[in-house]
Amino acid sequence: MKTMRFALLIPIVIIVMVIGAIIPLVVKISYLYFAGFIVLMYITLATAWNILGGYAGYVNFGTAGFFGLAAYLSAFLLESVGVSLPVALLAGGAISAALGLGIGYSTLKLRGIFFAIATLALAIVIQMIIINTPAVGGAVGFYTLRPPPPPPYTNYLEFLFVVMLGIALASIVTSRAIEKSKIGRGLIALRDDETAAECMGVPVFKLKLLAAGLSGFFMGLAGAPYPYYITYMEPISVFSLDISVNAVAMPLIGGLGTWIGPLIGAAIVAAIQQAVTVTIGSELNLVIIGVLLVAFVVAAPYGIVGLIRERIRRLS
Amino acid sequence: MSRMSILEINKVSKNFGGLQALRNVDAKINRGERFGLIGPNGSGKTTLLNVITGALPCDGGKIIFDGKDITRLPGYKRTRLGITRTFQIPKPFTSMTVLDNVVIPLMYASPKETPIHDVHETALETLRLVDLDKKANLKPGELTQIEMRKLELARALAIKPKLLLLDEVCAGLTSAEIDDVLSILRRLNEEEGITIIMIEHIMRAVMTFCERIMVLNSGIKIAEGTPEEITNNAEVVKAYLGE
Amino acid sequence: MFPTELLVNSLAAGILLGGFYALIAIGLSISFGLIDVVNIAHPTFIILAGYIVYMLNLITGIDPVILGVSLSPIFYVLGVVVYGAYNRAFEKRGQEALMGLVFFFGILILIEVSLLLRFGVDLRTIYAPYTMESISLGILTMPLRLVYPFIAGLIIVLVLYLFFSKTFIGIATRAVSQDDLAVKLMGAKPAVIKSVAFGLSIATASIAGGLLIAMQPIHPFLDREFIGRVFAIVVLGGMGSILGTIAAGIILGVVESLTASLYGPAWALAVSFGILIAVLVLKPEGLFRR
Repeated sequence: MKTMRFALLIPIVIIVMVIGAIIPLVVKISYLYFAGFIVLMYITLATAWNILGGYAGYVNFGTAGFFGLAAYLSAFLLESVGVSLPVALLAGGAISAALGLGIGYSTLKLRGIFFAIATLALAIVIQMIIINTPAVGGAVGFYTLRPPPPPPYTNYLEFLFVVMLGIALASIVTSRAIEKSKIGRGLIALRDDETAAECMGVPVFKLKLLAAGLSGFFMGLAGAPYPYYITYMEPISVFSLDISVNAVAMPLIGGLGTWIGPLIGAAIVAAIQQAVTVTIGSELNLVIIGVLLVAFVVAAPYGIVGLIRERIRRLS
Repeated sequence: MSRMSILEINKVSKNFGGLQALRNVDAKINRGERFGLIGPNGSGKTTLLNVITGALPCDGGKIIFDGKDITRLPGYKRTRLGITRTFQIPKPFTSMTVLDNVVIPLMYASPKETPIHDVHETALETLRLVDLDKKANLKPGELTQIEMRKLELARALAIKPKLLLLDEVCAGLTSAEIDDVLSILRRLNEEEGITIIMIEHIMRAVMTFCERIMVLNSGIKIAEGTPEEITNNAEVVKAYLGE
Repeated sequence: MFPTELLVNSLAAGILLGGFYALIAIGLSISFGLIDVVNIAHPTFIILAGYIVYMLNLITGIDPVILGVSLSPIFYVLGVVVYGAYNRAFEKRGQEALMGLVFFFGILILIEVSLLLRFGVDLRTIYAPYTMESISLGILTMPLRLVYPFIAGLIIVLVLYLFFSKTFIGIATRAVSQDDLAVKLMGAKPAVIKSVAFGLSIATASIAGGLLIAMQPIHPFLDREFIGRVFAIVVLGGMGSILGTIAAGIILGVVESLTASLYGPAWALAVSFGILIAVLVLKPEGLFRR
């Protein structure tokens, strides 16, 4: 029965991808793709975060570091070296995966808090390094020039939207595949009790490293298209606090440890942030998300998915 | 290096920043044996268990299992060789069902002969052994204390281990429940040939169940022998009663 | 190769800074080292106190250190409240490792962003009369703005040391961190004891905040510079060892000061993170036992 559900997912994903690829050719509201790209980017980040945070239980407070590092590497490769977009995407994914493995190797044998602090520290350090690297513009900023969009697309933003859709879907499919697999069970076992898991034959450290690498990989994939989206990059916005906070808040509010939680959380939080930006003002965004984060972690730690499951359980 | 011994502990020591938890402990446990490990609180019994399973590295000495030197082998690999354990205070995987708890060791530590699609059936069978099959779809949080103990046991038995290490499996059980558990263990030992090392404080259980017993005190082995020999050993009595 | 005067002064500054760092870290030594509460927002509470002191100083003109000390009872209560929520929501459900961490992250963000909204990104400073002066002893020149916090830091830490080794609650706290059951058998409630300890840790944040703004300008994200430092000190000093915190604070202060003199101030931050990672990889138990 479980394999059947996964088999159901693949056609849905393909249909969504196809529809998503066609829509820009028909619907010409540019705001849709402008905002849509960001939502899809956050869906990817939230899903990536959840792989290590929700399944394995190790929180990453420095998602901006993973995102930003990939974005800057991608920008450098696209502008100064002149590679094609797919290469930049892979490079971004690879470097953030390596970052995940690196921090993982040094801190995942210790308690979760040390990994969390390391990610916090890393985000600061990477930002400092980028600010001091003239090759990517330093503190002044870095411009990228969008190339002509591949046909049939006439607008590069629309093309980027489709690329990000593909990335988001890839992250969701991977997350779903992990969750129901042997690896997923092993991660959840080690999240529940590492010592017991190791005694039951689960290669705890190896699985943690795998989760850290995969999580980093998708965070990097989310960052790599960003240079062409934003066209002007400066460290303060690329390494923005929003990214690190949202990456934690979205899976938590949506529901940790499920593949659909980050999706729901990202959609809801992104919607709230858009609404707040156009009404009260964008500075209040972080305050509101902060309040929601604390409220949910105290009152509804399993997120919206958890609340729904609880409701279903009560009714049956 | 007799073919009869399944586990050899050679001069094993463990130090916790100044506290010598184990000092040059030697032991040879025979295949299919029912072996008891007793001693006053803090004597190092659980530490020895942790060193055997690989939860803790030892600071000196060797551990040989089934002829293989496993001293440097990581814990999860030892489980795959056939060493399992229960914990004094049960450590279930709380976010999974009882059945899934037992599926984990089957997925990760089964000998190659058990094919994957049998995993759920095998898990259910194991639960039947300890009378938990009716609760297979509940979460550990919904079990009673005794049922959680049984789940611990089921998890350790699922892969038909060669060596089963029990950490105070009888604590807190009624007399009838103890008899129940011991009869399950005895059957597994006699029919499946599982070697059992049992840490216990409940003397009645140890003395009736175990063929040989080792006594630890402050990390040192002070006696080893049959239950009768141990009961009559002055050193042992002194260790338990204190000075 | 290295002028003696610069070296000696750098060393002295490092020691003085170290005493202050010990004060900043002592609260975390109690909350994380002793009672195992993962309060990564500790430096953020310090900054919060700094801003409150700044405001009160603007209105009343009272010395920031005195303000910091006076506010500590209020911060104590704040600590008790926060611990109450933490205990009810996470410790009781056994989820401190993941959820507790996210909880304190949420608090960290809330405080930072609220400060940002209220005060903006600009630096805020206080000009107390002694912040500009120095004492001279031969080739040694020690700025008072470093000496003052050093002395205050040492006094507070020593007071806490006496508290935790001589008073019933203090000893009970150390006992709770090692054996919950024994404490219950003694008739004391672990949650109450931890609540007192956590309250104390936040109270120290208030004093540290007052001293902080006396010695340097603050901004809403300054807490992040200190996170690496405080965790490095707590781990290096041995979790929960009060005297160890002083030693570790001084070690960090000296290494940072020398690094800043040799390679420039930007590298000073990297030092604390570097020490933290080194200690974690090599010896997680720290230099001092409890």
